[in-house]
Amino acid sequence: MALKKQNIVFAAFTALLFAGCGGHEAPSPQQPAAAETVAVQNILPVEAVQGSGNGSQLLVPATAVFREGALQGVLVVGDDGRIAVRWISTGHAVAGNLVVLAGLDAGELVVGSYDPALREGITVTKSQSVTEEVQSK
Amino acid sequence: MNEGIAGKLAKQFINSKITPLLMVAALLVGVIATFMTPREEEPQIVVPMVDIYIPYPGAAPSEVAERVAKPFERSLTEIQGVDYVYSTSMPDFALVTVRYDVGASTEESMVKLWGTLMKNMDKMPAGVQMPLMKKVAIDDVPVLNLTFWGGKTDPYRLRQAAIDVADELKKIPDIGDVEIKGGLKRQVRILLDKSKLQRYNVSAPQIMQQIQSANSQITSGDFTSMNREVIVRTGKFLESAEDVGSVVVGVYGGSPVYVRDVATISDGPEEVNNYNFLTWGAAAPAGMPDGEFPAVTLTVAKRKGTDASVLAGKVIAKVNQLEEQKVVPHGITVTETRNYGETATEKVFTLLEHLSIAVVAVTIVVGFFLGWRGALVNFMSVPITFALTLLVYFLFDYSLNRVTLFALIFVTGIVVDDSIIIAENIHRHFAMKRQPKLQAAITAVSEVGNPTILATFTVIAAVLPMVFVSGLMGPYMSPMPIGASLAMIFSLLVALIATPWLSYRLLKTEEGGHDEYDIQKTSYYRVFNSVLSPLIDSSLKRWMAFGVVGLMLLGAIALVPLKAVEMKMLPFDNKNEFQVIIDMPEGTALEETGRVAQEISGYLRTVPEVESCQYYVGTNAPINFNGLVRHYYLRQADNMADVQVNLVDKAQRSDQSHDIAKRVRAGVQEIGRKYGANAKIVEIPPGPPVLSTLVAEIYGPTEKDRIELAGKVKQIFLETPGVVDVDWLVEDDQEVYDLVVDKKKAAFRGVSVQQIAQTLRMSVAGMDIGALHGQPDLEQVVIHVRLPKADRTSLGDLSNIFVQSQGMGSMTSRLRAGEMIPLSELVKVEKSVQDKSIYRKDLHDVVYVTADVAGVTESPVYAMLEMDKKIAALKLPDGHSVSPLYTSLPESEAKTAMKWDGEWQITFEVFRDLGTAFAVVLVIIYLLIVGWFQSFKTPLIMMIAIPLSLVGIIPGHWIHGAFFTATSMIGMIALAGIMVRNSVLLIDFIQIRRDEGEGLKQAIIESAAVRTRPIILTSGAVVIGSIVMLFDPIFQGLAISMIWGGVLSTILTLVVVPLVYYMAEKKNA
Repeated sequence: MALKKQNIVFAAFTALLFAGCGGHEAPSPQQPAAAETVAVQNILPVEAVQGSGNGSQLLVPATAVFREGALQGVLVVGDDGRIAVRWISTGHAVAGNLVVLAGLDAGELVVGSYDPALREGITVTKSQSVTEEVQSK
Repeated sequence: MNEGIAGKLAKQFINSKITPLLMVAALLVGVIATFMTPREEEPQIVVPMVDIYIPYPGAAPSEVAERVAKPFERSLTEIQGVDYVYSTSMPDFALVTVRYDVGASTEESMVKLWGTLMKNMDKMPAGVQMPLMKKVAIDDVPVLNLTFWGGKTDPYRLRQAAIDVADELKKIPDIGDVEIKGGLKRQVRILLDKSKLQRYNVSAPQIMQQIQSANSQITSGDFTSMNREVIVRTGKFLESAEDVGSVVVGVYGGSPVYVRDVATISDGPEEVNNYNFLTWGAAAPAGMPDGEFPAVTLTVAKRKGTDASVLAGKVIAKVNQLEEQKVVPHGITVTETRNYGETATEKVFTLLEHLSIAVVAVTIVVGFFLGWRGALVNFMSVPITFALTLLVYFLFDYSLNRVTLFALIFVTGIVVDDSIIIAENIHRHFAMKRQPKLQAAITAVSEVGNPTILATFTVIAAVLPMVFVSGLMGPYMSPMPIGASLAMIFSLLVALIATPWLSYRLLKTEEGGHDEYDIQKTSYYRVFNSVLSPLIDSSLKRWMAFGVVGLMLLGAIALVPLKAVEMKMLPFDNKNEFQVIIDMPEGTALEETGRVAQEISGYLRTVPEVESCQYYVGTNAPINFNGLVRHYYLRQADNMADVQVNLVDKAQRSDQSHDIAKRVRAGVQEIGRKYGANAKIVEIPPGPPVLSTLVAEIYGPTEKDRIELAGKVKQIFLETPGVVDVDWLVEDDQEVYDLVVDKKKAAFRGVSVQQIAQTLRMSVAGMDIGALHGQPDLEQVVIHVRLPKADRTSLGDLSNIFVQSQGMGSMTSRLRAGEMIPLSELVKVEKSVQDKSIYRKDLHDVVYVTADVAGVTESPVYAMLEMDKKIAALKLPDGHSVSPLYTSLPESEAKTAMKWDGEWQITFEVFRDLGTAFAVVLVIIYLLIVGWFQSFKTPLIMMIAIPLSLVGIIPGHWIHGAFFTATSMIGMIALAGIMVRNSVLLIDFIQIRRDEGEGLKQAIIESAAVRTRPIILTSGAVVIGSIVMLFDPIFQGLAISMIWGGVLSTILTLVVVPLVYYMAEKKNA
């Protein structure tokens, strides 16, 4: 009798022995929800110009730069047309433009005049003239 | 009959009124101790580590290494107890890290180190400044992080709010260090205007002197008159930006020149020197806004020995109160981004729950054999055992953590044995009804008392030698053998005192007819008779049986070289966080680094399990124990960024953190590669932290040789599949402009080199020249002089910086003083490359190549073995080949050499020590049994059971797909004790039967039949008690060893041991 009971116990627990084996299916990273699309007229590429000294400088319109306390940022338009905030550090003002010391690459597209309504993740459409300008570069 | 100690104890307590009181008291103190013992997740490892910063301004790394680091290292080795000495010689300073033996007293180590340092200060070269010595302790790791953020709140205001809160928090008792990460400080900035400086004939050092002398106030003494004393005070501190602006710095055209005339003065945030942003991830709590927000993190550490969860609770209550009192301004949200107190409490209570499950499961098993009354006896005695063990934990300042509690779960199946044996025997004696009940109980205890004591000590002998595991793993693992041994001793006492008392009252003498007990009618006997008889009778069958067992053993062992079961020190744990460490090439601007961190955190927040991401650029993320050992708190340069990733609680996700880390690695590194960054995923290691999982230390005669070999090794790392996060501790080339002063010209113009250096330093790096006084701010408001950022972007900007001639005062010039001389006239620019830092370990120059393993191989040992072949095949310029060393440093530095370090070093030490412990265990067990059986041969037969456990252990790991880890090894060692005990029970009975005149064969079959029940009962308890441990990633190995090893070894023991005994005793039969 005792032996039978034992068998039941061991049979019951053998299933438990295998618990914890095997891996789990990895869920694929989810894509962020499709954001709204806004038409913005003034999208400009970051310009590289010959600086006063040796070497070149990067310029963005002063109107493109916004401030949050001591931080300075611009709205960058990515390849997919999505807006992202980019924090930059700036130097002198040159004829309505600001010299960018770090944070941007030449040719990147920025929103020419900062608009607080443009949030991160919004898709913007580029105006025709700018696209041509980029292509001609 | 002879009662022995056991019988005497039982007799004293079986009817005593004190016994139930003792039981209740033990339970009560156990419960109280459980709540009073500090709780934490991981055991506290005291690693006395001291960082010594020795500044040597202006010196190149090679000079720092030769003149400062080397002599100092040499003197350090004189100190007893120093384990490792590491040094890094950088431009301008040396960092020497001294690591003492694990467990050494921190205070004593500090005193010795200070003594040695002071003794050798006279040998240091001129120009070396006072060293700074910092103790690195586990209690520096913050237990609670509070992140301050708000939609449109800038870092400056966030920091102000955090400081106000920090000041209030400091008033809480038991709180440790409170720090603020990120944000911008308030500063009075004097932004020099180059053209105005020139126009008004004012130089930067002049401004510094004037402001410093204006910013003074002293008590001059007192006047006594009319029996009164009046205090006289002179001067007035600068109290506002206006005060600073009104300091006169010179005279021009007969009128004074004020600071405000030559500079812009601002009172507000300092220049941006860090970026710290919080973003909410895909698994954020509902209602959290999208996007990233400037953030400041307040970190709270605890005082040594206090309970993190209690402290965290108090801090959070205080912060809530401060939020209500509007100390935290409107619009700023305070979010908990780390709470180790909560995770510790959660872990401890989960483990206590598991412990209860184990106790209940074991009780059920016992119930099947002894009936519910017998089960109840055991069910009551186990909690008393654990209550007493918990009390000892409290008294000896152990904390409740995963290791101390697993020690209890691990012994659950073992501690019931003592009670089982006693209760079972009492049960048998009651059934026999030969004596009155009381007398029967005492006889029963006396009968099995002594073997029980021996069995207990056998198990203690098996686990206790593990205390001697050395190195970082020692303190991590030592609670295991200590806790288990304590529990064993208490279980013995409980079995001898409480169990008889309980059994006497709970166990019933069975009523009704009682059959004459006949062994030959039991089912056990029939089974063993049919199995063992043919094997005993036919030597061919016997040898075939041995052959089968031998093949099983070989097959099991073969799984290891076949890599079906891989060895690893410890598997990864399931944590709620990991970090991404981003290193950009040296010379990358802060914003560019920030951009990479921003993009990586933008990617990570789309991962479904990520609750929040926080990135820190230019300042380090709050450290954890791993970061502490790896010196991540020094990561404060423009080219470095850390991303702290918080996952949702492990209960709410199906993937373990290690799997998530593996999954995101490719995406993170792709972003990193785009910008030339090295982005590493850093998980919290399950055991003691090391520099990196894989570390290749490259030694060699010259720096060129070392870097060359390191480059090749790094290439091999990169090409080996499964080796990830490859990096080396060699900086990229960073461009340097050396401004060489034309000394002759400078002297002629009345300008000193020092003056030029100071002017440049103030202009470019800026200089703190004092502080505002009388401000309500809790942080000091520094007065800082510098050129505006726009005016220091290129060499061209340096040309119109002017220095003032000292004139005749300089003794080298006859020109008049005060003339402004452009720097461009006095210096010549030479472009060069920044010298690289020099790393040294234990007095050898070394270059480190580091990597992690993930994916193809999870265990570094296999990756190392694979790379060994490739490294040995390397062609070196001088023709010799490199064979990587594993355990010792190269004998000479004349040739390049390589040594493996990192996790391997700890793995090697742990398995070496556990192996030694195992050998000691075997010897002790042998001695114990020799003492008991008075035979040299019999103990060897009993110990056959030990290797048989491998037949279960190794395939068990294969079935579960688990690593054979350090905890598996612990399980194997503990199992040795249990299995030997089974053999002891078996052979003891054979000998008793033979003494009674039974034939050898009959005695063997009968004893196997009789002893099967207690053997299966005790082994079953061990197996069932271990099942809950299967679900912990780290202790899974221990559970697998105990379960599979226990099951198979028990079955094989019941067959193999009697057979071997038969063969050994055949001649004497």
